Amino acid sequence: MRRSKDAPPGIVAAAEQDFAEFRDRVSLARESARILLEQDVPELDVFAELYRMLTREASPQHAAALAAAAIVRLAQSQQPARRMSSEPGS
Amino acid sequence: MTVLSRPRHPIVADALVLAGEWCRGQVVDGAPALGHAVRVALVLGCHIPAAAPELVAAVLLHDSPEYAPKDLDLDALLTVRLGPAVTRIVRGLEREHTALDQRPAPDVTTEDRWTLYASAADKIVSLLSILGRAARAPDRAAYWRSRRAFVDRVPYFAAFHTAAKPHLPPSMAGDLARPVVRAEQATTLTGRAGTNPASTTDDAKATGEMNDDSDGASANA
Repeated sequence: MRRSKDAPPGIVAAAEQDFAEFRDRVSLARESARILLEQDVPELDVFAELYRMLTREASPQHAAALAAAAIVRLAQSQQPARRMSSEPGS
Repeated sequence: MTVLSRPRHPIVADALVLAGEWCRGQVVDGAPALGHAVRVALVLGCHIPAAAPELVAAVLLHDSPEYAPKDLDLDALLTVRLGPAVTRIVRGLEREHTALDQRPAPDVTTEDRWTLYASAADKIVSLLSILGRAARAPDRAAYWRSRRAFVDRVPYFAAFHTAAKPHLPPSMAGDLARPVVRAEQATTLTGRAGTNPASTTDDAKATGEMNDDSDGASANA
């Protein structure tokens, strides 16, 4: 059986498409949470709001995809600015 | 950037403060009532990114007739602080909520586009919320049997979509069609004779959005 480190092209394309959609939805959910916190809605209630949203997903896979997209965004936002490949010494 | 991102227009900022005050302590479906108002505003902004501040403010306050203090002259306050357009939209949505309970078919005012947009955004969020709850219910048929009032209103939602569709941005018409079709299909399966969902189904298919279940937050942001 042929093995490859690379995912089949179809899966990559699907992931790219899904990620864009879920990333956009994460952005909206984050905006919603930020506004609620800004209006002094207790953190626990904001959690309840997001938890409610995730449990209303059509499938656990949808909820997991949203969570995955959120984790990627969170990790990206905490990453120090990456060096450009054109930087000296790169 | 969303319609609620900073810097906010003073009318939007003021509406958010009022909505926050009036919704404080109010819970809808286990979550803060303000969350619903914010979701509807964000959905509106997905489809109408350049929405007027008065429209965004009205959407944030669309449930204010229910949540504002009863001894308050709501019309006067909204008109003076936020402008007459906000009062008009808030009351227009209130009338539509009342009609939903009393009439079999909607009296859609297509002349007032802002009220129509606000109403469509509210329906997208509300329908997806109910459908999402049904999707996760252990026994969907039992869930729909316990929601007779909603099931009886499904033809109203379909008629609203049919009437509003030509006047909505295509993406919004599609995002409204999707949950309406799903509601028709789900409630028809439970034994209720729904309306013919063919035209709405075609519309939803045309947008390619038949199988997703976002919470009103489509990928159009």
